Amino acid sequence: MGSPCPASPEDRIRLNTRFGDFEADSRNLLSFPSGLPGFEQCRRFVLLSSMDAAPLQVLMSVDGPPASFLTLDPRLVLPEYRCQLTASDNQRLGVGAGDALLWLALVTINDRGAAFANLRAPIVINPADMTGYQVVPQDSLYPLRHPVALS
Amino acid sequence: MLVFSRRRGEAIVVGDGIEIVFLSAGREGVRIGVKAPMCVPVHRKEIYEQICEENRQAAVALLPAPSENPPAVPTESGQEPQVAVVEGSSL
Repeated sequence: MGSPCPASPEDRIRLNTRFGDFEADSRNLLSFPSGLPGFEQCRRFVLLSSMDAAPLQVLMSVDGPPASFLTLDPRLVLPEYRCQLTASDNQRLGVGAGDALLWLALVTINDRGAAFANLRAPIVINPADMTGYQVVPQDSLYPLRHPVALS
Repeated sequence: MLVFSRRRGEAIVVGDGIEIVFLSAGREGVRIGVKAPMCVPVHRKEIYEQICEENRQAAVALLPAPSENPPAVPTESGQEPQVAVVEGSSL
């Protein structure tokens, strides 16, 4: 799809990954004002997808210590997945109840190749202003490591 | 570390608008109330640290090592990763 207003070259960020080099422009940048727990200096990310990796997507930090995370829509793991945002969560994201949000569970693959999704602390992104953060719930029905079958 | 002696109902003020109230103490531990602006996240430290540790386990290295100069790895379908479209949905 053609972009009606191409970004100027200074808006573009070159990403070198082991999958190759590519470019993202500033409109693709996700802002995480608090970083992620354990990666508080990672304030900007891009979300990458490829047909080979689907349904996994890669959340890749573009500043701070280099860090990338495999992510998955938590509803692909548990179709009935629900995460209740608090009023404070909504305020931090600048959203109201019922606004469309992007939810991602971080995926860990252990030494034996088994995959687990963190359903307790999902990433939530407000696509309207491209900001996100990781929800740290006081109580959650879901485990930190929920087994995932990746074919 | 600053150390305070507090009686029940007494509080400590931290920065702008953060108040930590000492509610009660018993054999099970102490009960503490935290009043903070909505934009200030407040977590139990052990829960936050558990998530930090899980995130460290989840982090994968996608960047090539500095000495490495890898050719773009052709993926199975020949399609390289792309920046994903960020769209929301109601959960």
